[in-house]
Formats: sequence, structure tokens, C-alpha cells
Amino acid sequence: MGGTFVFEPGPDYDSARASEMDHPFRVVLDFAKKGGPKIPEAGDLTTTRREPSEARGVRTIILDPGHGGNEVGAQGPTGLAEKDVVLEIARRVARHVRQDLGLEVVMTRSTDKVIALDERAGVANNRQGDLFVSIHANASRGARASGAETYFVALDASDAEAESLAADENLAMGLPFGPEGGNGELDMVLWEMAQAEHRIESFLLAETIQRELNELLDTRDRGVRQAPFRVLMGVAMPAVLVEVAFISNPDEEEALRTPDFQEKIAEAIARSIASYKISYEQRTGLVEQRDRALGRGGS
Amino acid sequence: VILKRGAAAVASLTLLLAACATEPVDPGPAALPGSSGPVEPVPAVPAPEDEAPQGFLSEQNQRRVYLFFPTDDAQRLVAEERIIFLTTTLTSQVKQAVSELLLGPQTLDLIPAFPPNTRLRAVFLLPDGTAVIDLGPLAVAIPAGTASERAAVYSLVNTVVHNFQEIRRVQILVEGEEIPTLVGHLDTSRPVGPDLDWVDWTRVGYTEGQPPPWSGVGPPPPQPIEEETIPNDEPLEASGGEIL
Repeated sequence: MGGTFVFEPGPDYDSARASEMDHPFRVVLDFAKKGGPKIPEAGDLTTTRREPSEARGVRTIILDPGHGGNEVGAQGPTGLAEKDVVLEIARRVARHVRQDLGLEVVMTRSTDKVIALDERAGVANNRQGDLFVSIHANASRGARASGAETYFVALDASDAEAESLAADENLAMGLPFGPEGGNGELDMVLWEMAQAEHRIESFLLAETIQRELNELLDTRDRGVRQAPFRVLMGVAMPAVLVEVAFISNPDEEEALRTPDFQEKIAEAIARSIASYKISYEQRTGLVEQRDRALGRGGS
Repeated sequence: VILKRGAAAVASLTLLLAACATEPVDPGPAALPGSSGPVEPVPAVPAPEDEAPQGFLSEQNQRRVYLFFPTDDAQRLVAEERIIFLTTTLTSQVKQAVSELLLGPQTLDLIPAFPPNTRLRAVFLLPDGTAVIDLGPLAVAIPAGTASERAAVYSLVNTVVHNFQEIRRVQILVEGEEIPTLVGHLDTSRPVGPDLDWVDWTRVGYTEGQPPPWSGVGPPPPQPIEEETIPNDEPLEASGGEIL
């Protein structure tokens, strides 16, 4: 697969730099515009290698309100737009996470605008998030559908087998997915691996959020599920997508409209993040490390 | 018990017929699980032409497929049965199955996965086991939620992959183009594998815990070994010979 790519910054650009990163392996190109912000030091970037934040615990939460701009998302029977409700809920989650938990929050969008799915994952990775929570409202053709569900991405065995088999076969047969025909398939495998590495943590986070939502809200439990969400796949940290309720259900649309319900959901999500953080830090021994450093515990 | 025996009879008949590879192999609706007892041997003398369809329209030229439709609360995909013709190419059989799927369910509590009048533009198969299914523009006119998107993607992918053993994944196209997602959630930019975990098989006569029904083409999936031998194996074998 040898090849040489040449990128030349145009006259508007001050400097450019290429660097490599792991997990998944990728090449990052930085271009700095004249008079714009400088390219960060190489050290800053290479630390994006996430052994899911073994050294630092859970500090930065990426909140991803679904849709935006002319991508309205789902709409309720009386016209409530998913993009507006989920932004409002995400803002409330952000407030709780910052104020009550003292963690850093990055929103993939804080206004009503279109942001591509891959760009959301890119923001999450560049900002070195420790958790990624995408917030959506569900819709179905049947008005009866109701309740919350939380998703994560699982790369199951048949998928992995299919991928590698397909890659082998394509190579052998010279079919269009191979190196000559463009490397869309290869991109996809790498992109998918980013999330695959975190799928157990993602599942645990999903479970925590689903449990909190079920306890706090009197909505039907639809459980934790897995599906290949485009927005989650490229995220190099534990990542989940929460469908808080069915906006297509008249009762749930009505509830989603109220600040009270939005607040309850936001609290449930924030509490889940807190509870996941504690559990994660206990499991990985971070709590003991900190206690030792402070001269506590172990007596 | 009758149900179980029926299932076993279908499986053994399928095995038997699959061994005689060249002939179309469906036992037809007569051998559905739930129909009582063993399959009647086919009479040696062919029925007169005006009484039973012959040739292309005969039961030997048909096969059963299972289509998957979402429940109206979007919790499960439920299998419904259809009969398609054993046309010579796999592509054309896939077309029949997908066309039936796009026509929607026949049970009241199931809903169509795609909007009515969604067109099937083309089907083609790649040598790596990918079926490329090209749908008309209405395919993306579903409610923009995960539930409806997941129902649409997996009703189609499960239907194609479960019924046609040669196919392992489905690449969805809309108006001839690859699309990143149908309505903003699930990745359809590349071939999608089946997700049969949320399928409800009870409508086609199977209960939880049993292996899902096999549609009749290719070797059947491994069956649990049962102590009891199935009676009337002999007549089945005899009739198999006469079919040929």
C-alpha cells in the first residue's frame, strides 16, 4: 500500500504539520491559518492515546445533542422538534455535570446548526473526552411506541469475521474495495475499531444510564441495545447514545415539551455519569492511588 | 409435541431433498409446522392439468421465505411467511422476497418497515456475499428516529440474509447512491450484517428456545439431537424418490 501524498498549504496558511496517533492508528494533519491560533505542540496531540484515561480517571464529558439546523430529526405529532428538545436536555446535563460533579463538559453543538456525524466524533477525540454521550429522542411509525432506550456499538464476532473475510476475498479477487479501488473499507475497519476497543465500558455506561432513566422516570424500560450508530463508531472513548423518550408518542411528546421532564432526564443522565465515574475509578484502582497519594487508606 | 414433530419432519425432508441438489426443494405449505402428522407421499400418477398447477407454477417450483416486520411498538421484528417462485437466479428470488417485504405485513399489529410505494430499483449480488439493494427515494421518508430506522434497516437485512444462505450482508442504496444513514443514525455507508436477536418467531409456529426455522435452501442449521426417532421416515424417502 505504499504511496505518497503531498499536501501544500495555500498562501493563507502559516504552517502545517503531520503527526501520527495510535488507537486507532491515524495520521493527523494540522494547518494553521495566518493570524489564527497556532498548532498545538506535538505532545498535546499524542496524548490523545486513550488507555481509557487510566492515568486520569473520568474528567471530560462530551455531550452530543442529536441533529440540528435543517436536520430537524424526529418530530412529534404536534410538531415538537427533536433537535430543540435534545439541545435543551444536553444544556441541562452540562450544567449538572459542571456544577454538581465538577467535571469538564464539551458540547458537540450548543446552537441550532448542522454538524456532520463524523465531525462530532472528531470533536470528541480532539478534545480528549473520557465519555461520549449522544442525546436523542426516538420516533416510530406506530404511535404506541414509548420509553427510553440506550445504545452502544458492539462489534460482534460475525461482523469481525465478515470484515476480515471480505477484506481477504477482495484482496484475492481484486475487487473494488481493495487498495486500488480506494480504501473506504479499510477506513471503515479502522474507524470501527476506535469504538470496539471501548465496548465493554460503553456497555457498562449504557447500562448505568438505562437504569437511572428507568428509576427516575415512569417510562417503559426498553433496555440496553446495540446497533451500528455512525456517530459512535469513530469515537475513541466509551460512548453511548440515549433515546430519552418517543417524541412520536403523543403523551411523551407532551412530557418532552415540559422543563420539568427535561430536567428529570438531565438529572438522570448526570447521575449516571457520576455513578459510572465512581464505579470506573474503583474498578481501575484510581481511588486507592489517590488515597495513597493523600496518605489515606491502607492502614 | 405435534409442533416439534412437524418441525423435525420439515428439517429431515429438507435434508433429504437438499441431498438431491439439482431439483428445486421446497416441501411447500403442506409441510408447515402446525399441520398435523407427516407429509403425505406425492401420488405417483401426476394429477390432470386442470386440477393442479404444473411446471413453473407447481409447488416444486416454490419456496418459503420469512419476512421481518416491526411490531407497532417497535420492540420486536416478527417473522411472516411468504411463498416465492424458485426462479433460476438467486438475484430474482431476492427481488421477489424484497418486493413482498415492501408490500408490507399481513398482520394487524405489525407495521410496514418502509413507506407504502417504496420502490425496489435493483438487486445485484457481489461475490463476497454482499447483496446490493437499491431502493427508491421513499426509503428515506421514514420517521427520523432510531426505532424506525433500525426497523427499516434490519427488516430488510434480516429478510435477505436469513433466507438466502449465500448472502451475508446487505449494502443499501437509495436511488443508486450509497447513503451514510437512512435518517441520521445507523451506518449504511457500508454493508450491514443481520441482527436476528430481536426477532419474534412465534408467528411462524416456533417457540423461544428452538432454533429458528430454516427456509429450505442450502443445508439446514444444526438441529438439537432428539432421542425419539421420527415415525414415517420411510414414506418420506419413497416420495422423495418419486418426486425425482
